Amino acid sequence: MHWIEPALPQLFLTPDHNRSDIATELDANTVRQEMIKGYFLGTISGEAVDDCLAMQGINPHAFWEQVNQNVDELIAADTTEFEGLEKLLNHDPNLAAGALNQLDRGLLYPAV
Amino acid sequence: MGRRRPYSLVLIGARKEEARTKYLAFLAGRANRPSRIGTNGNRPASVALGIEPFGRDLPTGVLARASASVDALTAFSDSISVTGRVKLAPGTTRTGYTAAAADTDFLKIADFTPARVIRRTYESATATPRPSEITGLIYGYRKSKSLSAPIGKENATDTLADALTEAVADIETANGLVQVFLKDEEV
Repeated sequence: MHWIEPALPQLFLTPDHNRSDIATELDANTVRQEMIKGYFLGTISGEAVDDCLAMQGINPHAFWEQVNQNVDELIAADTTEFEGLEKLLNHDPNLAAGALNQLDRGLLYPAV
Repeated sequence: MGRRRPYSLVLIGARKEEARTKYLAFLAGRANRPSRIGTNGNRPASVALGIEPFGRDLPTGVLARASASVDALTAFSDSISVTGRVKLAPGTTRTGYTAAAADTDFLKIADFTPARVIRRTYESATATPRPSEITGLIYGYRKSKSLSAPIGKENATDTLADALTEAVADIETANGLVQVFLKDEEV
C-alpha cells in the first residue's frame, strides 16, 4: 500500500455518473490528495487542507475522525510495507532518522 | 445557515494533528501501542506485479514493478478495473489475472509509484460511539477493512477515468458498505 492511503477521502461517484462527472471528480481527487500529502509532509497548513475539503463538500471533522480510525487499524495490523515512504521521510530529518533505523533493522521497508 | 459548534475548529485541529502525529510516529517506528498490535492476524503476503504507467512510456519488454497483498488480489479478482491493468510475474498464475510475457522484466522505476484503487469494506452500516484515545472526544466507529491494488494502462488509449468508471461499478451491489478511493500515479 501507499502511505497516503489511510488519509484519502472517498470518491464521490456512483455508477450513474457520466464520463464528465468522473473526469471532474478525478481532478478534485488529485487536488485534495496533493493537499493532504502536503499536510503530512509539513509543506501545507492543516487549515488550508480543511478549506479545500470543505470547498469540495467534505466535512473536515468527520474526515479526520476517519483518518484517525484508519491509522489505528493500520497500526493494529502492524502494517510495514509502504510505497512512497522515501519521499515522505526525506522531508523530515528527525522522522527520517527514526525510520531509517527501522529500515536498517528490517522492520519497516518500502514496498518495491 | 446552521451555527457552528463552539470550539469546532479547535476540535478539528486536534483530530487532524492527532492523526498526523500518530501516523508519522508509527511510520518512523516510534509508536508505542502494543495493546492492539497483532490483533488482526499475521501480515498478508505480498505479490510482485508489473504495470504500464499511465504517465510514462516504457521500453518493450519492461513493466514498472508494483505489489499488492494476496488478500487484495483475491478481492479484486472479479473487478475488471484491476484485473486487466496488472500483470503477474512471467510463468505465475492466479485466478482472474494474466501473467506478463515470458521475457518481460519488472523494474523499479525511480520516483514512480503507481495509481492504486482502494476498496474499503465496512462490517456494518451503523457506527458505534467510541472515545478518541488522545482527545477523549467521542466519534462514530465502524470497523472496516481496506485493500488496495496498483493499476496501470490496459492498452494504449486507456486512462485513469476508464479505470475509475469500472471501479465505481463495484459499489453498485455493495449496499453502502463499500467505499472506493483512488491514489494518483506519481511519475
